[in-house]
Amino acid sequence: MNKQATIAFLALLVVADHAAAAAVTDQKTWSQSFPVTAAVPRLLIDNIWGNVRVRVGSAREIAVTIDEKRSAPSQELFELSKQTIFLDVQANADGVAMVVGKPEDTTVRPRINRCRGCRVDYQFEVTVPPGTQIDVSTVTDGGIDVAGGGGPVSASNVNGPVAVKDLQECSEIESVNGAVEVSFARAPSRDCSIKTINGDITLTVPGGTGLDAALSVMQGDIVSEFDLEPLALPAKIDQHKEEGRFVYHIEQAAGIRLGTGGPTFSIESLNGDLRIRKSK
Amino acid sequence: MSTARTFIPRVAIALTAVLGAAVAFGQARNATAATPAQPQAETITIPLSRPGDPLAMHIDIISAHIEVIGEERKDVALSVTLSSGRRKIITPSGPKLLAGGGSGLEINERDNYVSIESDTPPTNRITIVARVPRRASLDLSTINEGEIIVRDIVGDLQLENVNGPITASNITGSVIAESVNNLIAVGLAGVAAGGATSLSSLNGDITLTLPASAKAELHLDTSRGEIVSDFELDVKPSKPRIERSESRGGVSVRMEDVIVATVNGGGPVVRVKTLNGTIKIAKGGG
Repeated sequence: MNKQATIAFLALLVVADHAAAAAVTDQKTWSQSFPVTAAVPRLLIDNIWGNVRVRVGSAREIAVTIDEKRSAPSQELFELSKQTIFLDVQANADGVAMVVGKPEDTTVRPRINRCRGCRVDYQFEVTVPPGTQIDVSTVTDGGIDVAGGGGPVSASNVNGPVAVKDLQECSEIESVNGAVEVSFARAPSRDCSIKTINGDITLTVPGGTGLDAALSVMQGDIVSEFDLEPLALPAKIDQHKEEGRFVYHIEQAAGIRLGTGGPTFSIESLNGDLRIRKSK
Repeated sequence: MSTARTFIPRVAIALTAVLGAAVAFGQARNATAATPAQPQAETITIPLSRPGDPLAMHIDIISAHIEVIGEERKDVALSVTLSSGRRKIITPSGPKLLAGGGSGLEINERDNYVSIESDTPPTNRITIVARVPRRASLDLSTINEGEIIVRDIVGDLQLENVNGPITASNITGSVIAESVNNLIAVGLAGVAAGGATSLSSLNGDITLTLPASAKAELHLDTSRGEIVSDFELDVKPSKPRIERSESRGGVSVRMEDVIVATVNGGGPVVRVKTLNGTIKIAKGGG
């Protein structure tokens, strides 16, 4: 190693060592219970980094345990992160909303960008009353895991899996880079949308379920444990004006019918298999 | 409890619009499948920005049957069928063919220019029947499992079909038609004076139909096929054209043996070329 290279290497070591020494982290866990009285309480969680796990618990409260891990490259940025990345909790008799960043503040991403290298992982463990309407999301380094809610569920992730089990109804379940598992405790009666770009989709429903589905599954196998029938669906036609031109968009999904049909599920994936399973 | 959801991954929704950029592979093979439920044709009428003025249309789809018919009209009427090709679902009673599935089409209109494109997987087949104003220039292209058919157009055509046939009839204007592995049949109502008509295929027969009174100078080239004509051709003396180029330290020589023949005394040049096929010059009415 010549002299210049040696100096450069040592300088790199010093910088790396300084950066490692300057990193600041803090971790804390807290729990809280929120009484709710609504007939159909609502739970909203909008996370960025970390898991969201929801289970059914007591009838009159939403109980939350949150593990928070804050990290920043320096003490200065660590202090800044407290103003830019935080958990906003709003609770009343109707339900609980927990959003990383103030719910009404749409500038949370620019604020986070100002605090470069900062992040706050929130791991949510929540129990809700039976029948709660659940709407949960995260963005990265975490999964969505909801079971036994009893009420309608919406769940989304960007870089991670989504698993929603023991459902009675769903509305939108989606990921971008992650597998999506949706299983029903009973035959659904409402329309639902299930999507991912990169990942398998597994839909599990009880035997005897009546269901129509519009499939847009590009790559991967489509396998069903039900002896269902292909169904011709009308194409969806959207027309609008955009930058001075008229745009018409036509989409043709593949239809399938389970049993005698029922609510319509929209199922979309790009890279992944679709499995339709019968509850055991 | 209305709450703005800043980080909801709407990206997922946006990206689904481009899902069709992929190819559907990995389907069950060597299995029989039931007859699929057939997708229905959808009809769309596209109003033009300048009704009554000539239309320009561009269609570029990997697997498509494209049919364009000129009519006395001031809009574009489209009949579109999107099918899933060989996409199957595996069920306990065996694989079943699906109808549709991931097929999408986007149509744009601006200033009488209509473009139709699709990012649908090549295994999905799209059928388009477009009824357009007669005065139109068309640029139509497909690759697989399709056919290009054009009729009753006054305007210039550019037609490309790699593995399927091209048929154009009652055309007044110049036609550039290219296929690799299939036939080309073009019927001209008149030979365009200023345009360049050129029909070429690698492995297909080419039929050019001209009005009985048409005046043209034909440049005919078939390496391994016959030339058949309903017209009395006045064959001009010609000699092989040899192009020599020196590049990258080597020398390449390209030889073309084109028969030049005039019809009814000669006129605009029409080039017809195939490697493995017959060239037929047919006489139409007029």
